[in-house]
Amino acid sequence: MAKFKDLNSFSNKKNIYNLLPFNFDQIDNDIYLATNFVGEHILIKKSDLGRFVNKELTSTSNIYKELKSKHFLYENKNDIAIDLLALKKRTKLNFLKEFTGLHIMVTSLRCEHSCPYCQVSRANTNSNKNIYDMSHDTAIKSLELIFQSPNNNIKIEFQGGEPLLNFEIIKFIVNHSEKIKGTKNVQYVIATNLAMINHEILEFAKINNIFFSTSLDGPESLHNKNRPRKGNNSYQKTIEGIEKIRESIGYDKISALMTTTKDSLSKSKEIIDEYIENGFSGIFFKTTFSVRICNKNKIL
Amino acid sequence: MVKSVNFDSKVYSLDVIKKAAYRFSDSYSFEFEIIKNKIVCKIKEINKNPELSFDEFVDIFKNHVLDYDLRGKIFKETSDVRNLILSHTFSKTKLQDG
Ligand code: SF4
Repeated sequence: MAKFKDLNSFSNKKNIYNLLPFNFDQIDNDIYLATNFVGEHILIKKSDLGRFVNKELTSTSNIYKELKSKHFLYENKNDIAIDLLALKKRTKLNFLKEFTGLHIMVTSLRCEHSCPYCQVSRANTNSNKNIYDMSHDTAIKSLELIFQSPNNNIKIEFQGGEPLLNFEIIKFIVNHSEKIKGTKNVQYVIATNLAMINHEILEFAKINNIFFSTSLDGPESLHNKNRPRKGNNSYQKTIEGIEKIRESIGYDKISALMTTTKDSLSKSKEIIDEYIENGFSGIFFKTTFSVRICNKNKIL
Repeated sequence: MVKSVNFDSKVYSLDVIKKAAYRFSDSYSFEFEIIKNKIVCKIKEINKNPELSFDEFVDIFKNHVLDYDLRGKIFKETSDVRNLILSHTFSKTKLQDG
């Protein structure tokens, strides 16, 4: 009498599946890590890896099922796996469409503050401008590079040193960028300690919808300790600058962030109070980076 | 110390053996010579590894040659489908030729 065939007779024979692109590396004596380009991974025995590539796995085995579900193989050319993989890959690469939106332009390495945590190769205000300030040539080339980005929304942030010490180049960059931006939306932000803010700068910022970002490290004594300048009045300059911007351009045109040093650690309440008193609804904590003079000054 | 390892050029390509060699080029130097059907690979220790004898390394190296050969096979076999997937991925973007 005819009998039922056993399970293996229904399983796929050799060569019935196709490989999808993947790479592998040995992570232990007998264990390999295989990864594919949509970010799936599988741990596989050395012997199984060889059998898999040589099309010797049967479709009923657990390793086969795992390889199939993670897109390491597909069963026939019209398999939906290829569309699915393409879709996953497209999702993974979606960031390319919005490639590099934020661009930082360092307009001057000079600064009239001497913060011990400063991360830049800061120079004094009377240092040679030709060496420490951005030139027109550099500005034009930087803008050309910036506008190569396929991103439709570009943000240009001016940083330093103190970027406003070279306000002329900021004006030039904004005017030039407005001329060449085409259909892109461009937003400008000046990251400044506000000590140099004046009527001309405020007027220009108002006309060109420029945002400001500043540092407020906490109450006066802490702020001035962290951010020394001649006259020991960094705090006063910052608060005055915040008020001027709010009055002449708009309340939301200025944001602040604080750098945390060891002196800040016991003053969390005072720091929060300071932010609330000055009308900020949130605090962005910036940790100090252990680089350059910040390292030398041992302020961490 | 220098050791010579021979590979059959009908079984392995020089390219595959070189790829495996690059992986260890911080500690070993490699020299290749093709003699008839043989690829002769001369291996010299540059930085001695106290935890690995030269013979043990040679075995590891041979296994890596085998792995690179397998990678090459996978790459060849999947290159059509890789291109198909990438063309699906980038369809409707402006990133394709033609
Ligand atoms: S204000 Fe900024 S650039 Fe100037 S010294 Fe302080 S951290 Fe450095």
